[in-house]
Amino acid sequence: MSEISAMPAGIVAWLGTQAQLADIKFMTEFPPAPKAVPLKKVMVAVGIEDVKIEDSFTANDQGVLTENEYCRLATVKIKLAVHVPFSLGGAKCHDVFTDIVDCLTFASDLNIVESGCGFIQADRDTDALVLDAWIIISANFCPAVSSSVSFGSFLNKDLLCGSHITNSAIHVTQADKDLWNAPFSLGTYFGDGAASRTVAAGFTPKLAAVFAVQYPANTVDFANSGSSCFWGLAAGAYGTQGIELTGTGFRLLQGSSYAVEGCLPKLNEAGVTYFYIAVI
Amino acid sequence: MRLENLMKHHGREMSLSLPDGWQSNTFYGFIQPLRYKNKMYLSGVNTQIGYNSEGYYLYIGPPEHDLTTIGEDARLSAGGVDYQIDRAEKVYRGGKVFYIWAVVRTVVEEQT
Repeated sequence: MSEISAMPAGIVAWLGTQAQLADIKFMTEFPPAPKAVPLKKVMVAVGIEDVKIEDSFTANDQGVLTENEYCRLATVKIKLAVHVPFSLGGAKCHDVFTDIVDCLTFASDLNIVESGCGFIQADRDTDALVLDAWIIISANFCPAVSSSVSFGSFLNKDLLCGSHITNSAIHVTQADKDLWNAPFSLGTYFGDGAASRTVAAGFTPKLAAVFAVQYPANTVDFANSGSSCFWGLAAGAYGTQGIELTGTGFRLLQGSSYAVEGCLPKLNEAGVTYFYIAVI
Repeated sequence: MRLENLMKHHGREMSLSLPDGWQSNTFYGFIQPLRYKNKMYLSGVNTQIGYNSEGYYLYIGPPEHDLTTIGEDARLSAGGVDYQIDRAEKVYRGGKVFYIWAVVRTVVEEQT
């Protein structure tokens, strides 16, 4: 949990790079350095007020909570002590507080779930009006899951949400979003005559249909008392002759080895163009 | 009593300055530490924004240099140390200002 102890310094470093907060000096609380006398600039001391570490649970398909053995949920209350020179007045305290919270909420990757402040007090030891404020940050620590993620900075999205991003069960990728908008795959392939071939759909289809472009569904060979089939449909674990679904697309079968009652499946006939649609 | 002679004989050399570049001529006065009996803490105070040495000093200077009206941005310099004037008052003898009394504080520049 060293990421938590490093958090104030990380926040100070990050806030110090924000152009809109350039007039404010940030520091970790009680720095081993002299305080400026007289105080001319707004100074904000950042520290940890409270930390809670809890076990992490995930609901399974039946709604039963199961413990994530290697994960912990952390709730970190970060303290912001806003020091404003007397000459700038108390309203400046609230301006500074809201600017900081806005910046952290909308520009940083911290998962801020709550923020607030107390009342302003005049402090003779610092020559300042002091507003004690706080932000509460929620973080999910899954070291086992996210061991490949750099923990260099607590401000890194990979740290705070690392367990989310690396968990494909809950994280939505761009590819996932694309599928939501078009939950099917359309395409063509050119027959090469092989007895078997697979076509990748990019997902696990629930249904796939194939037909040969400009060909009838079936042709009859009267001379040899046989027929050929140029289309196929598969759904779930079943399909018509010569087609079956796989985990990533569908498989096509071709030729006499797969004949059924004299009918040859021709879903990969050399020189024939096929059109397919696979539905997720 | 000629206080000015006493200050010249026993006091420290000092001057006043303002941010606009104005600087007084050199004059003589007394600067002495204020300590625990004056509710000051010898070890200073560690605050959330840094260590405050609480370097408060008592100033006694000639009436010709009126610290009560010079403004909060004024600096008193003595022996290479700058002081800000926290509070200043005139002390009268009869109807005339006898000397200027002030509490001054060591200026500490902001650490970068």
